Amino acid sequence: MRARTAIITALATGLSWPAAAQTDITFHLDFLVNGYHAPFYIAEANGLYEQAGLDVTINPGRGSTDAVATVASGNAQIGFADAGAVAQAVANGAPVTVVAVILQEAPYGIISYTEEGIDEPTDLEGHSLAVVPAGATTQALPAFFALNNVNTDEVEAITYNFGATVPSFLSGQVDATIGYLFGEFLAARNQADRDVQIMRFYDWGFDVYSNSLIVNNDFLADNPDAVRAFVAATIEGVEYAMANPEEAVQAAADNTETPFETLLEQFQVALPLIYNADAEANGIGSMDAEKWDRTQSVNVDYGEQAEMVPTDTLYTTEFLPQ
Amino acid sequence: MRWLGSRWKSIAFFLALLVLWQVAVDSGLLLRFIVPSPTDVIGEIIDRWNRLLLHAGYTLMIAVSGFVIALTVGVLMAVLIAHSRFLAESLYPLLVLSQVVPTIAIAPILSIWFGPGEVTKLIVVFLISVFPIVVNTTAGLLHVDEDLLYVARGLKASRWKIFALIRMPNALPNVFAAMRISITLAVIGAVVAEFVAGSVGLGYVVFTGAANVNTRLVFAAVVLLGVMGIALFTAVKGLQRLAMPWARVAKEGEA
Repeated sequence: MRARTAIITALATGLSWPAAAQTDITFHLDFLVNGYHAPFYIAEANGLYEQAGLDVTINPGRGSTDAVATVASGNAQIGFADAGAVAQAVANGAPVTVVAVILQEAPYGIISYTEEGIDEPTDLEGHSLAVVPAGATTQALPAFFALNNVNTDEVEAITYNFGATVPSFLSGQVDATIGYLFGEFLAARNQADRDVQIMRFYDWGFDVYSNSLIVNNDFLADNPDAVRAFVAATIEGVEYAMANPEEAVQAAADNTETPFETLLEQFQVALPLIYNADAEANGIGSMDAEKWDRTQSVNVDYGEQAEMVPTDTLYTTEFLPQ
Repeated sequence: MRWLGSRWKSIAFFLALLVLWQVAVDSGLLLRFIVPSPTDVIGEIIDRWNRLLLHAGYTLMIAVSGFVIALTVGVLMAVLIAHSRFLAESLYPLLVLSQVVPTIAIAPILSIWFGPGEVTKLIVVFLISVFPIVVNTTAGLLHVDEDLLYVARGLKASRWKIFALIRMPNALPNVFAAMRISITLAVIGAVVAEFVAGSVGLGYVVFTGAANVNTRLVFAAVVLLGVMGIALFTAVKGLQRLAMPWARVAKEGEA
């Protein structure tokens, strides 16, 4: 870690790149600013990107599909998007490549009142469940049900618009809702009058990658060093945020209307997915072929992805710190 | 006082609605995280006044700029359509298409093509607000008193003179009627565009609030949007009085 910082500092100061030599990068996020974006904002605020010779602009997005399309079209050079959405887009010809997996585990699940006793997937049978019309959770649900032999006829799925799932759950219109750990789960838990729990898909066979750094293929071919520097600085941002969560979250808070306390909570629940056992063993951002295959195959078996993509067109570990 | 004299009934009606709303929330009839009370919303606006003002300013800037573009281009198109059958037949289908395709459906695609910045937003506002201007202005340019045209042509007035002295003044009331529709559509367009891209504007605030189930923030932004819409609508009415001092238009309720 210290060695890498030293190298980057040496590069930045020793070569003393003039400002004009900075590589411009627009970094398009998967969604509105959330606590788990704090590492990116602190990397930007503390000049980690700048020291790496990069002039980075971070733009909040509106969903992983939107982020992939924005990077594929070249309106952003680098993006942050769900691994499943990326695999599907690459299968459809999107010219993007994954260079690091930041959220190592799928961050969504079934949210319910603890007292309802929905502790295992089959416990959902006989209950109503709020779902949304599109997105990663909607795509993952059939896989989650199939992997755990849930009789879907027994689950009453009711589609709500985005933003309406938690209010319908809290007002008792449904027994449970689908949602993100650092989104709907926190919103429900903080406003409910009883204990609320989440059953993560990841813990029930749906062990796939989630949000990853993706790069436009043309940009990657022309600027390999800039991409390598970006990945290194981003991972450094993660490490900094782990050591200084409040400072990192404040950097994110400066860029959104969402309050600091909410963002801090979001960051705290997301951290175990960023720095899980795999990341601890192999490094933050690391990835392997086996889990990528699993990520793709649930997409193909239960989702909209037509066929598996050869892994070398989907991702590369070449830009991770060695 | 005279101002109040004619309006106290409307104001009382509005206040009664607010009180009813407040009581419904405070009594627990409406759940607070679904519908915040008026005092909650006012508190939220006061707490975040500086930031909200910044977002409101951005939305206002996008809505008004997009509207001005739509007005300029729309009137120009109407003039061309009124004077050329070829252009009428080539432009109208495109215009109708721009209106029947739901803007909310194509806005995300526009943001992928043009990026999440102002260009996309101005295009969305333009697309949503240009149609009424073209249609109404064209109608005003064409529906001119036949006798007047007959006399003007008899006096050998040029096409340009007929346009400047007869058609355009005749079309002005139509242009202003269209402007009132378009200015409110422009605000909707700006909000729709902010929903799908970027990180500034009241539409973005509504989206952020919804994402965190923060209904107070959603309502605060909605109230400001309402105020903005009414202010812009009134401003266009005022503009009409300035531009057409000769026309004394009947007030609402006088018909």
